[in-house]
Amino acid sequence: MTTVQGSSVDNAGSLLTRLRQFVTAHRFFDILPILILVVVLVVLALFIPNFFNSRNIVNVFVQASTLGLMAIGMTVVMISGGIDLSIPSVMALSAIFGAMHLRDGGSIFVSCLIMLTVGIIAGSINGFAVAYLKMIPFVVTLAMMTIASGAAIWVTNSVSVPVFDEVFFDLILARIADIPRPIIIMVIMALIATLVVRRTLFGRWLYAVGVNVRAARASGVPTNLVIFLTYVISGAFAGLTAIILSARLGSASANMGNDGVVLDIVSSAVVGGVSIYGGIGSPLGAVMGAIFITVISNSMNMMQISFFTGLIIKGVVIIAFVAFDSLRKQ
Amino acid sequence: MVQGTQINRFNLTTLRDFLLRQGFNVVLVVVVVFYALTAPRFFTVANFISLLHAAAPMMVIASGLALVVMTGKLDISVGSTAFLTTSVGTILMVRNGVDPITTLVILLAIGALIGAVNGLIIVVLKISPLIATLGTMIIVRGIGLEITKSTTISLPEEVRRLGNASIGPIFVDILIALAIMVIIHLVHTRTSFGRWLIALGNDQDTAARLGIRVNTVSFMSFVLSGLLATIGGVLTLVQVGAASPSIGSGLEFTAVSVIVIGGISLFGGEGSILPGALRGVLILEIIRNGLNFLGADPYAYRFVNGAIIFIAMYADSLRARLPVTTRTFEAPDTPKSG
Repeated sequence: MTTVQGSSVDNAGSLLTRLRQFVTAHRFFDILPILILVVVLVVLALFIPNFFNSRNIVNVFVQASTLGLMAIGMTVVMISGGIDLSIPSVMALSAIFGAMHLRDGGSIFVSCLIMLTVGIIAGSINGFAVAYLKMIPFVVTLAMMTIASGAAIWVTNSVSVPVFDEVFFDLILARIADIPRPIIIMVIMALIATLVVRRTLFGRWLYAVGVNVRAARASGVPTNLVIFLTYVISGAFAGLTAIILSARLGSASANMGNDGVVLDIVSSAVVGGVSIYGGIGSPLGAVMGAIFITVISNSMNMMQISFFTGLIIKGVVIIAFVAFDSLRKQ
Repeated sequence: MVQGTQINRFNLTTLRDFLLRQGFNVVLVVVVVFYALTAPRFFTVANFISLLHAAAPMMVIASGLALVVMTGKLDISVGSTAFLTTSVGTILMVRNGVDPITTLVILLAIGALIGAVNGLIIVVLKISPLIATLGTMIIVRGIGLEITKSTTISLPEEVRRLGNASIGPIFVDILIALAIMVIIHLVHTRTSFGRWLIALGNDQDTAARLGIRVNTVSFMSFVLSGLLATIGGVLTLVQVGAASPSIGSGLEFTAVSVIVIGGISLFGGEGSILPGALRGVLILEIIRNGLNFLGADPYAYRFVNGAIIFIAMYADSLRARLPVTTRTFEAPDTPKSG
């Protein structure tokens, strides 16, 4: 029985090898993701008349901004060859601590500082464990995810912490030339992050570590420091996201960072061309991916496809993109 | 003087090695003793039976996941698989009046199919198991939520009664779970399939050169994982008495923790079902059960779980760096070659 299955599996394997050769041989496949995006947008324009109405577009971009920021953090970690599953739960925990401070009459500045600091601390613990204790990124951040969401549930007893502060809302959500600040923050951060990874020494080290840690270490790259910093950066982005999201929702709760969010982040990065094998991708791509994922969710909403069918479609999209990614890169 | 320090250092090293090798056993003993002293009703036969009853589904699910992890891969779709199959089963029985035995057969087929899909995606498309099963985890949960419309559906009365079926004082599901663990343990230690799993986990390329059908072995490990996740789901379903969206949610992460606490290395090639995986299940369940007795804040469980996983992972990473000789000593179940 095993032999029969084995041979069919192996046959499929050889077929895939031919497919892989075909894909790598044609430049056309490099622009396939953009092509898919264009097709999706055309379909949306045809089927949902309201989709391209400016209010909805702004709405989509605001929704995408928090996902995009977290995807930037994830991208930095993924370029170095790691993964950070704890981003959403750390984000929720920071938002809760910040919101509690604000609720108890603290200042906005300190609340924001608390949110950033909690994110950075959690990121440092992740980074220390991965870089210096040599623990597996997946399990370290899995543990951090459980700890942070556990702490979030524990601190709040699963009740959301309200944030009612007009000044805070204004500060974070105000529009500049009709564009809400979260979008501007996302774009600026994406540009800065892309410049950092593309044009600085740290960026070069980052890709070197992602392509081959041993080779990077042999050529004098402080690999442990680089890996450590990637997690600190993703923690800081989780904190930044916490500030924006708690202002947008007007509350902070453990549910902000539910398991579904981490999947959206990974999908954004992967769809945006970041390889989970490390060494490939850019923050700008991940932000594009985040917008794409949000467009999918938003349009399925408008087409009144159920949330659950949406999950199925998202799962298929992720697998398809990663399959494509691995076809291209092997 | 010099000699003295050397002896001292030697003792420290042996102590460290001992703790690393026996760390989880030490934790288990300390936790049990602590609870026995602080919670009067903890150390009773009745409590241990109810503890095993609660742990039974995880024993089965963890055994399946262990097979995948031993090949150095990961299957995080087990929770969703348990959820989808139990939802389908409940709907078949309640709405379509299918009898329980037929339903069980259908569910096992679905579970194996999900495992097969995982296996094919990973083996054929060469996608990282983490991302592949992340994808199927979302898809399978989506399908389950769609067909149940995210509602709770009660089991028929006569099936629900099975949840408390017991032989003497011992619940039947404990016996089922232990029997499955023994079978998987024997598959792991006594069959060539078990040896191939370990070979794959140690070095897939070498295994392939030795003529092992690595693709088939990986594929089969995912099928078995899907199958056992289904059985675990069914045990949960019968205990709970209803199919609900909460079944299997977050279960994949608990199962991974169980695996690691059980001393099965996520790097693959190492660890055992008995006593390894069983020990992992018991430690987590005992800690939860004892916290309950101590009247701890139930909201703190998840936090404590996370901390335990973190410590377990740290110990695992330390152990992975121990010399090979001590590792062989650690895992007496590793079959000899040939």
